[in-house]
Amino acid sequence: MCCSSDRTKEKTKSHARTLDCIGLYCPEPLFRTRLEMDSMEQGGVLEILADDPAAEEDLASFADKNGHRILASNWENGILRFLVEKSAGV
Amino acid sequence: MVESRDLCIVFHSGDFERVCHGLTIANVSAALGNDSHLLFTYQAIKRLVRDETDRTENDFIVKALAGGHMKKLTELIAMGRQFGSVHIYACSGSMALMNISRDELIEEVEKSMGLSTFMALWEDANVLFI
Repeated sequence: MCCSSDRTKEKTKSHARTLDCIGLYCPEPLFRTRLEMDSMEQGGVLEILADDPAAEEDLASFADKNGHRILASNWENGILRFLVEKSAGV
Repeated sequence: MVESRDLCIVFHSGDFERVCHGLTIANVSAALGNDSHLLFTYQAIKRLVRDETDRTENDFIVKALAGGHMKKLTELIAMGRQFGSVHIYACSGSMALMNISRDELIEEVEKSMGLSTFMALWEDANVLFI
């Protein structure tokens, strides 16, 4: 009982995958994101790391066109961290 | 969700870079959720002949492929198949012109097709000629 919050945290963590696209350029981050999302269940969360300046707009466009929910999109030290939740029916 | 249109591409040139870029555009459109319909004609149809797809003697391309900066055409075709919405057709007139039969073509070719059938696909699509 005392550990219920830890278990919740663990569950959330296990449902997030990370896709490392650092060093890859357009359209490779998009291709890899699409393939990774295809293998995920609805509601699954994917974290994408990229350093291609075009990646943020490209991934936002991909999410927008497919109805996926963007949870976070921010740059830190030249690395984009893009967090997206897979929508239903895709 | 944003509405977008399907894509039709007529491949005319057999130049490696042109076919590579055309397949890349087709795959990007498919990755975004659209159908891509590709009709290979004239010299481009030679790229659909089994074991000829990736043939090149261009040093720049050979080096780019070796360095992983460019994808092979066979890799792009396989990726399109994985996306499930890239459709490859061979122009029946070009097959006759080039003396190429169906059993010489890679298995990813869905069927041979005439221009009027292909043009019916592009009524509500964006069209490129490469």
